[in-house]
Amino acid sequence: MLDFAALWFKDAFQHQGCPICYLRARDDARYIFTILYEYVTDGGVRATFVNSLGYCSEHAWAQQRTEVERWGDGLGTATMYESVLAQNLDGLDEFIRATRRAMARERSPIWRGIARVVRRLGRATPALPFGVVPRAPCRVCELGAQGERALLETFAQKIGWDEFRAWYRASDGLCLPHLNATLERIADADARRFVIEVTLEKLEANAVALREYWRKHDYRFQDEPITDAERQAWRRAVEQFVGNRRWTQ
Amino acid sequence: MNASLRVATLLTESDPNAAQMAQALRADACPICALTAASTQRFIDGFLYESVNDATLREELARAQGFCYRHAWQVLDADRYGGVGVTILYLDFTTRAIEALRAHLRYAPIVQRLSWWRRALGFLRRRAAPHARITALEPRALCLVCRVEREAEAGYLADLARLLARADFRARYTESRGMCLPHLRQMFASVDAETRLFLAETTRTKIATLLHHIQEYNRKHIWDFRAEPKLPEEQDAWIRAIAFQVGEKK
Repeated sequence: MLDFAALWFKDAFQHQGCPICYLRARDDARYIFTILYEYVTDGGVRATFVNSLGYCSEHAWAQQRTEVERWGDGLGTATMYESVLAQNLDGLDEFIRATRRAMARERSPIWRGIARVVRRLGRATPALPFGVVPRAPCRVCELGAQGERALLETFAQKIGWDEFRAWYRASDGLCLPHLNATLERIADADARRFVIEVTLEKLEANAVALREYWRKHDYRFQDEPITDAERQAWRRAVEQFVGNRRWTQ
Repeated sequence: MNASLRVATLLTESDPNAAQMAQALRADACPICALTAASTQRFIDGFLYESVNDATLREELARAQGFCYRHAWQVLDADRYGGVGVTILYLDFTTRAIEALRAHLRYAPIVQRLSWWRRALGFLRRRAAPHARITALEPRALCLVCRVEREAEAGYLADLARLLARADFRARYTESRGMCLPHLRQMFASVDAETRLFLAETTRTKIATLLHHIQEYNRKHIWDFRAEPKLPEEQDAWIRAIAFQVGEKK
């Protein structure tokens, strides 16, 4: 049945690389953009951001790139990180106090006596407080994983539909990590076979291009022209194994 | 750092690791991030230059299904020989994946017929049993570059932990940009209480300064103060704040 989800996939199938990777990257980018565009001063969003001490490495740098590309400066990110740094300071203050207390305790002869008996106490390091460690995972990762599960379920449902199959066959196919994640959700033997066969076709076609690209680097065949598919084959191979490149690295 | 300063550092340090760390502390980045990134890049360059056809490494890579996401793209970027190294590697991995998929298609009908026990197990667990993944396509080992990266990172953290016992290194560390938060957390777990206190206090001072710069950057965006010039350290404070939370850009 044709619905919005099917149309998203139809669009994704026309882009280079794995359609699930494409849709997830698009959603992640939209989330980051929306936050910067209108939620920088939102209390709830800020609390979530501080809880995870910003985003993970990939999404934190993606946020920086997005802001520079769209607005040419860093005001939104700077405003959000002001709260995170304040939390870092609170966390470090608490950690410094705890470390000083532990050091003072270790200097007392009674404590040293106890620590000699219970050896674990002597080496105890204060727990790292919130501000030094995050309290929650990266919000973009969390929402992205949730969205990806929904995309995989949708793909698994729609692949039984003939028109969807035709669109899929014309695409670059799924990357291997998403192939496995999809197969986990497809019960129908015929649909499973179809998805695997399409992936096999794509891998075989790229293997031919890779072999040709390699062969044409041999001085004996260096005059033979290299086709676009062959020139793209090594990049395509990496895409097939690990998924599309997210963000411009 | 200029060449004469680099030579001076190397001449005064008999320990090469200390000289390397002293140089890294002068850079405008987390020293552990910078040294680890350089070490990983050296490994990738060396690998592409002379180990693409090494059978042992190839087997190891095949077990890990090539490289992880981040390092696969890093290897692709590092291939300065027209992509021939990556082509050779991925032709091998692709051939193996094709064989695995063909085998799966060949044996899938048989496995399907025997799959009643999976359904029974799912019924007993009161949830639908997941359908079969192709295990031959899953990594059975850690990415080779990840392993090299972790080993390098652990080595540099140990070096810095050892060197922080020296007063001159403490002074260098205080003047440097300091470690990022992820590396600081690792370091806290491996040093004595006194070094931990030194690191926490130094970091606190650096963060307070960074926060002040960010506040100034934000304030100078307000209409009333727009004429006040933004200092260079204020203009990149937000980027340094990101680098402190998650480490340098990879």
